[in-house]
Parts: sequence; structure tokens; C-alpha cells
Amino acid sequence: MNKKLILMLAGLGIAFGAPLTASATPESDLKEFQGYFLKKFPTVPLEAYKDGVNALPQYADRVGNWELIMDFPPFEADIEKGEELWAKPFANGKTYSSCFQNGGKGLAVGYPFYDAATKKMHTIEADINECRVRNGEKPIKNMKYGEMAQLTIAFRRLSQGQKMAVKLNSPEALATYEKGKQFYWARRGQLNLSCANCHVQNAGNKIRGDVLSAGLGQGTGFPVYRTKWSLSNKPLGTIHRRYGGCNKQVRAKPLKPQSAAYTALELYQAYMNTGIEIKSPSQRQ
Amino acid sequence: MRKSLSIVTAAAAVLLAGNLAMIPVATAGDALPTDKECGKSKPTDAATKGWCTMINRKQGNCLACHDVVTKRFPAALPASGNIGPPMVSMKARFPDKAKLRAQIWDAGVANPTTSMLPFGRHKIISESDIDNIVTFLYTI
Ligand code: HEC
Ligand code: HEC
Repeated sequence: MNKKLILMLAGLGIAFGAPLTASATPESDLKEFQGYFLKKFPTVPLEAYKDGVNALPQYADRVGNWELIMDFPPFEADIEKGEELWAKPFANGKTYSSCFQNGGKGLAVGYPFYDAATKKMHTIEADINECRVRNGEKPIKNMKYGEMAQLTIAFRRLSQGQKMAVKLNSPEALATYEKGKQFYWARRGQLNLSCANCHVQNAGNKIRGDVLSAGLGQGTGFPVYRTKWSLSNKPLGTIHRRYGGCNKQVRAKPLKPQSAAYTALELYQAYMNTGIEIKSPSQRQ
Repeated sequence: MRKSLSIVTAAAAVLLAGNLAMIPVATAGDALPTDKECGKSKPTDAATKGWCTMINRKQGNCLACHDVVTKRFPAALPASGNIGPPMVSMKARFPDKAKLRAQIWDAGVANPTTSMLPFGRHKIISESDIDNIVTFLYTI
């Protein structure tokens, strides 16, 4: 490859084997992305990535601590609260189950998705709110933590242990996927780092005291209960809350949860997680 | 003899791992200041000022990615990251001062796929901060 071409690719924010070439399809992206990690961490099988950073050999000296925490998971109360909220009838007597096919069972593996009838992208959080509004309730305002995160846990647990299988079966879904992919690989913020700089190029490396998790599997464990977030008394967080945190870290402006850009990013990550099980919620550092 | 040899071997092993910085310094008075001490003592010499910029999380935050290998490393400083190579024998390895400065000003010139921040180009720290850091790095 000549130097000019390398520079050009770098300008697009592309490196380490996930080129935005015209011939790249989501299928070839997927193969390349998963292949990169399976080669980088030969002892970590695909299914292990649902455990985030805990799956990486570079985290081995701390994983015992995580296992200890898992003996008495700090998120038990949030699971219960989520189930309670999920089952509680609205003023009209209906429940959340009534809004979803099959009561919501097994659906989380296909989120987010584009729906031709409503002509928009659907996330779990947005659909939970839509269900509320359709039944005469006010939408939940906080899309980062609290009740929305608890309800999302309840919804995702209806697919617990099932493998992610997002479909990109419309031009709109494909266009959204491309936007998410651009977002993932583009440098941003004053610190000029892309998601991939940290979670692809440096997965397993230490940034100060933190081991960087692999981009593969990110999201399968959400919402997560985070020790760092518990310091501010809001330990539970949705995936878009986390995106905001990772944007802030590079001194980029965090976007609103449920913004089109974050939903596209979630779609890209969810598609990259094809074949990895949902394990919600999870505990993280 | 035997004992001191094993200490030397241990030290060498640690050095190889790029972790010499973790060895407690023998003469505490000689140690570089911690972030807190930097704030209190307001150093005036360029090298110490550079060090203080390097370790401050809101400024250089170099230790997020690099270990600094010096006997004067303060024991109280938290662990360093390993995204970038450990900083060791900088003067010997960068005989051209301008090259060292350029690496800090914009690492993307030498390596377009770098994950090091463009400290000068993006004005993350000031030009004189960068000069001070170079001065400090030449002392190790
Ligand atoms: C400066 C480095 C850095 C950048 C850039 C960065 N992150 Fe992170 N990210 C971290 C650190 C540190 C953590 C916490 C440790 C871990 O799990 O990786 C984290 C955690 C996460 C998690 C939570 C993983 C889990 O299992 O709990 C997600 C999801 C994530 N990042 C996504 C992103 C996305 C998407 C981007 C780009 C918009 C991004 N990150 C950019 C450093 C970064
Ligand atoms: C986010 C990560 C990160 C931060 C923060 C960072 N660096 Fe780096 N640095 C790297 C990486 C990665 C390299 C390896 C070369 C490359 O990729 O450009 C590097 C290389 C270097 C080199 C060349 C070393 C060699 O042995 O060739 C110097 C000198 C350097 N960094 C100085 C600094 C200084 C001084 C700071 C703080 C002001 C700093 N770095 C902050 C990631 C970082």
C-alpha cells in the first residue's frame, strides 16, 4: 500500500482491518470484525464476549473479584423492580406485554431494527415509551438510568441466553448501519480518538488503571450496573448512557440518549455482536 | 552476593516489563512531586513543570497510556497504562530533540493510525507545556 493511500484511509478514520471499501458488506464487516478479535485473543471463544472486559486474559488478575461480586449480584433489586414495573397494569388495565408480539419473548435479539410500517428505527427504550403513550401513560423522561433501565432489563431478560440476530433487511436499515459504522471508526473530540482506537486497536490494553474491553460483545450485557456509576448513586445505565460517557472522555459533546446517531451506533454494535448471547444485566467496574 | 544478585535479576525483570517505576525510590527526598505536590509547590524549573503537566489528568495525562521509567518516580502515583511504550532513556533514543517534540505535538504525522493524542495540533496543552515536557524527558 502506498503512503498516500494509507493516509487517505486514516483520514476516514479507518485502520486495523475494517476498511470502508465500496465492496464491504455488513456480512464481510462482521466476519472481519469478529475475526480480528478471535485472532487477537485466541483463548477467548466468541461466546465469552458477553462478559465484556471480564472475558479478556489481560483482566484475569481481577476477574476473581468480579466472580465474588456475582455471588451476591448488586443488581438483584433492579431485576425485581424491572419485573414488577413490567407486570404492573397501566390505568387502562393493560400491561407492557400487550404491546409486543409474543409478550416480548425473544424479541430483544433483533433490536434495534427498522420498521417499514412506522418508517423509523426502533430501540427497546423507545418502544417501551411508545407502549406507555399508546396506553395513555406519560413517557419516561430519563433514558439513561432508573425505571427505563430497569424496564429494559425486564425486556431483554425475555431473551436471556439467546443469540443476537439483528436484521439489516431494508435500504433504511443498511443506511443506518453505515452511519453507525462511520460513527464507530471516526475520530472525534479534542482528544481525537475513535471508538475503534480504544476498543479495537487497544482492546486488552490498560488506560491508566482500566483495561479496555473489546468492541466485540459491547452491549450484550446492558443495561449494566457499574461500580463507578454507583458513586453517584445511579449505578444502573443504558447503552446510550455509556456512549455519552465514552464521548465525554475524549472531550466530544455527548449526544442525547435515543438520538439518531446513538441508535445507528447501537445498530452497528448489535450487528457486530451477531451470535453472542444476551446476558442482562451485568456488573462492570 | 547471592542475595544482591537476585535483587538485580528481579530489578532487570521488572525493567523488562517496563515497570521499574513501581519500585519504591530509595531516597524519598529525590522523588518527583505527585500531582498534589505539583499544585502546592508550584515548581519553576522547566523540567519539573514538564513532569507536572505530564502527570496531571486534565493536561498531559501521559500516564494514562505510558509508564515513565525513572528512579525518581513517586511511589504514591497510581498505576500507569500500557497503550504506548514505556518512556525510558529518552535522550538516548531521541537524540534529535525536534523529533521528540514533534511526536508530542502531533503523533499522527509519524503514524496516521496512532492512538496518541495530537497535543499541540489540538491545543490540548500549550506550546510551552510541550517544551517543558521535552526538557523533562531529556532528564530520564
Ligand atoms: C479514551 C478511550 C475510549 C474511547 C475513545 C471510547 N471508549 Fe468506550 N470505554 C472506555 C473505557 C476505559 C471503558 C470502561 C472499561 C471497559 O469496559 O472497556 C469503556 C467502556 C465502554 C462500554 C461498556 C462496556 C461494558 O461491557 O460495560 C461501551 C459499550 C463502550 N465503551 C463503547 C464505546 C463507543 C461506542 C465509543 C465511541 C463512541 C467508545 N466506547 C469510545 C474507553 C473509551
Ligand atoms: C491515549 C494514549 C496516549 C497518551 C495519552 C499519550 N501517548 Fe504517547 N504514545 C501513545 C502510543 C500508542 C505511542 C506509540 C507510537 C504511536 O502509535 O504513535 C506513543 C508514543 C510516544 C512517544 C514515542 C515513544 C517511542 O518510544 O517511540 C513519545 C515520546 C510519547 N508518546 C510521549 C507522550 C507524552 C509526553 C504524552 C503526554 C503529554 C503522551 N505521550 C500521551 C499513546 C499515548
